[in-house]
Amino acid sequence: MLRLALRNVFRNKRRSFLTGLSIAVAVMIAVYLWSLVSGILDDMFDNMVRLNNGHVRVLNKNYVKRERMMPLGENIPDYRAISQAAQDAPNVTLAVGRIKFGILLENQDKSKPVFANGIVPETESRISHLDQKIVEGRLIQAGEAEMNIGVNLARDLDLKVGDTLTVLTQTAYGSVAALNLKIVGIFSFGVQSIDKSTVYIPLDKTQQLLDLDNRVTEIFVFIREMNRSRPAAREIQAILDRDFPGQYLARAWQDEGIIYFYMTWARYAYAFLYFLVLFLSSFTILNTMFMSVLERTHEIGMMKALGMKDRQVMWVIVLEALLIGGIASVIGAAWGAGIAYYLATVGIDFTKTFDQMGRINLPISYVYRAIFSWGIISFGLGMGILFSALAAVPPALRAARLEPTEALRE
Amino acid sequence: MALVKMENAVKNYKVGKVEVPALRGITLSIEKGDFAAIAGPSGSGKTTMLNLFGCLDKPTGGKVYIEEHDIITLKPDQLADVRNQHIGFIFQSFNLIPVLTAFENVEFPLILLKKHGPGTRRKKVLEMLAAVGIADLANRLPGEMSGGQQQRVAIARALVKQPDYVLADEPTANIDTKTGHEILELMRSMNEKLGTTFIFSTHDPKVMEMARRLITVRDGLVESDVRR
Repeated sequence: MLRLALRNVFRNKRRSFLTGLSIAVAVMIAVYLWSLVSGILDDMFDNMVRLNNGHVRVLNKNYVKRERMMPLGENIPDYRAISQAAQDAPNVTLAVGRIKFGILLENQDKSKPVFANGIVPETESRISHLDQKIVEGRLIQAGEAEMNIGVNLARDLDLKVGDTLTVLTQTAYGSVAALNLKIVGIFSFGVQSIDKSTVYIPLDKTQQLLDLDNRVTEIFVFIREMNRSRPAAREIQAILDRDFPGQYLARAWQDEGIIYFYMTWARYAYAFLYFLVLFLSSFTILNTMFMSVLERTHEIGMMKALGMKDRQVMWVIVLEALLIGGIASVIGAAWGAGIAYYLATVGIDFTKTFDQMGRINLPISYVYRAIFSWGIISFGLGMGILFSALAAVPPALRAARLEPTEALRE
Repeated sequence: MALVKMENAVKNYKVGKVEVPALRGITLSIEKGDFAAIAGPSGSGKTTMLNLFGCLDKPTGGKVYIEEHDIITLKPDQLADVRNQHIGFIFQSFNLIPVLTAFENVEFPLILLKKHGPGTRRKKVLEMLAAVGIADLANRLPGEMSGGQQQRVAIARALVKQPDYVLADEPTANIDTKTGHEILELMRSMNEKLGTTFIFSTHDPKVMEMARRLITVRDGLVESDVRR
């Protein structure tokens, strides 16, 4: 049977080749697109978690209502107690406070409002890996009047390592405050929104500047497994409600704003797209096998006259489709894997595009990288084979149902 | 002993909305060892009779028994089994599978039969190809053989599983007279040597002469049935 199917596949070489090609291209697209989209989304999630949220974020309930305004007055006076309590919760690896606020940076005649993050330098290496992102100079030190600024910001305001700037801001009580800060390092995260408009300042200096002694505006909590953030948030919320009823909120990264929601839907939308591509390409198998069955009506009638049963006839047709689809899927998956590997190691550089687009507020890196996953590759391969086999069923049924006398008359 | 018999068999075909009678009540039995020709003009019902003998079709009325089975009661898979186990077919236009070699074409019904291992199958196929005189063409594809050679392959294919009887629908129609005569000679020698029963249709007077039993049909009825 296999031999018969194989010979039939090579009977019309050009047709089999073109059919195979369309399956191979579809599988290739599914594999590399999936790898790329997964890579981009994972990168966005990762950036979102490391730079904006942590796995779980603890906030003052009133802060949440006006978060866009960064209301310093709605802070966390019980910072020490809460971070200690969160640290003691199961699976928590780190709980550390920070203050996010707005400042005005000025150099000569240029000025720019930017986001400032008051951070604990020692633990920041475990959160944003800021220490590894410094491209010039060094990381800020606790207790020092220093800052690290983004590489694009430095370029825009003509700032260098060693420059000292006076930064202006409002304290938690609304009065204007100023502080001289020395630029000790320039960082590059490769993320537009961060590199262009963010500075990092030691937390203790920030508290001093903003009149927020021993207080922070948010606490980042990290747990062992990122995907268990929601149950972890519930556990921390329970502790908060017990110790400080009604004051604080613990929120998992998946529940932060609308981005996660959109990104999850983007995943579904792309999944739909892969299936659509595979589905459409499976029509070439359907068409090819129908043509093949139609051409061989007489021959199939003869084989049935010789005693071949309906399901054996069906099996031969499905086997032919599986041979074409199987070989094509392996080739397509290999192509797709090759492209995915290239995109995972080299990536696609969107630096120029982003510069032209101006500021966009998504935590997307400049360089898109695919992920190279055997899971994605074998899934694409499996789907290619499955769709090929399914598409062969209608023509195979037609062949099986042929009446031998009528088929022989053709 | 009757291998296959018809009792008042009627077969009508629908052409559009009109029922066209092909057989109008045929009673006939084929005995073991027969070398029988069914003769008659086009449209007389020869092919329809062969289809019923071959379990390829069921009668509209009357009965057809094959090895005591009433074929009207058999399901498609059972009919396929009967064809596979008891009946050999030779077609007018040879009908070999074009992508398989002569050897593989002859082996095909044995594979469907699922009774023999590859070694036995090989032995049987080679013996049969030698018996029909084309042992040297075993590896040729049908496209690389003449009509007469292809029909020899078809005979080998029909006989290799040692069927109870072989049905041949105008086996010489698509080959020249001389080759046709050789093919008939081959069939008759197989009938004599192996005792295989042959039923074939023809409207060629020379072919009729070679038959030991001549059944003439006209307008769906048996006109005469002569043994010689």
